[in-house]
Amino acid sequence: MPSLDDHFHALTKVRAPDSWPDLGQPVARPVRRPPPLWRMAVAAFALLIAAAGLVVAIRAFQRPAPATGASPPAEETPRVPPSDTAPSPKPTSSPESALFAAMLDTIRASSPPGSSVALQRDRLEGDWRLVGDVDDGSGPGRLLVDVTFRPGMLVAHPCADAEFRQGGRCVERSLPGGDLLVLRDVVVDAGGMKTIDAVLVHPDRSGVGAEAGNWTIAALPKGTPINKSALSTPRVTRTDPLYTVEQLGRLVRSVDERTRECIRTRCK
Amino acid sequence: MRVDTSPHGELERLYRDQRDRMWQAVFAFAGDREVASDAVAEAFAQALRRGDAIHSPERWLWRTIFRVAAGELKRRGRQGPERMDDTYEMDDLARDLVVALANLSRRQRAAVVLHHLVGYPAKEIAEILGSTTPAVHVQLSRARKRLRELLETDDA
Repeated sequence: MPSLDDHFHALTKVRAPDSWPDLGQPVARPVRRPPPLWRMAVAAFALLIAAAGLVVAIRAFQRPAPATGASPPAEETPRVPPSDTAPSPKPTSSPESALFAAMLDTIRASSPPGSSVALQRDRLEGDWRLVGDVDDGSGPGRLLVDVTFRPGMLVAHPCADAEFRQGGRCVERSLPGGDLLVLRDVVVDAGGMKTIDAVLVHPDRSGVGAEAGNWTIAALPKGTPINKSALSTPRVTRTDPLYTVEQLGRLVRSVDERTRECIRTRCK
Repeated sequence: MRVDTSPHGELERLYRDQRDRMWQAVFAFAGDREVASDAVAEAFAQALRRGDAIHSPERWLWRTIFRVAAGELKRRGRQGPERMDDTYEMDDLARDLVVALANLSRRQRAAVVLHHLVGYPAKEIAEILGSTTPAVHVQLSRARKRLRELLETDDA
């Protein structure tokens, strides 16, 4: 039976088209004559009328701006005194935002007291993802929490996967109901980037994954960057991740419990 | 013999050395010869126009090629190949792989093609795709798992 590598090797035998032009010999294009002056004048006049019409249309639909931002880019909470309890979820307008609010609320409650949480929502490939930074006052650190309800999306035994383990210490704990809690301890990457992972795998291989690091990364640029320097690069911002791997494991279990309850009760 | 280190010379070298591999990668990603040819040609044309504004032409080209191909698939209103062109001469193993790749998400497909076909490590893939290394690891892991199921390979 062929292996995955055999399949990819076969792909290298697929022939690309032969009839491509040489890069050094640009294809000659027909020279365009400049349009006559009178045509340019008519075009400019037409554009002027179109622009005026657009301004009138925009004004007709304009409404007074709301006092506060309608939709902030990130879920952000101010730092609160350590004695303060986690705030309850904000009123939500849709099941989607209610589930994100439940995730966020659980993350706050599972984070060190007084931490500020700035996470972006993402519905990547059907998952529910919050990603960004959490700061306990000694520097922001990366946090990514991903919930997938779709069966088969997680590997059954992540510790057996070299790409997941990355040489770090990895333990799998069986939980009641057939769930598996996987804790992958610190892996140190280039530049002192430390990352830990925790995954809760249900028997149907849906579940919750979380990653925490002692680094942050700016939001990715929109559009095609014109050079590599335009790409965001991770920056080490703390000595260690904000959570220990055990704390991250507890966070993952709490998020799982809360989001499942949210689905059961339609987040009421 | 002099080595041409100008941006144009570097692009010409990349075109000569990597054009076919780039085409194969985008063909695997899109499952469509036309999309692959257009994406590679468009990326090189854009690179030529930008000249020395591009500091790392190789990664820039890979990134642009996948973006152009993804944009074209989106424009056509589809995620990947709808059917394989039977008239196109190709080994069964390659054909099966392209069909199986269509069952992955775009990001997983791009990551697994860049890793297994082109040989990039996860860190470089993260730079090319504008992602992070851990995210690419997860995508690769999921993609391989799915491909093994679909292709019923004998990998461990």
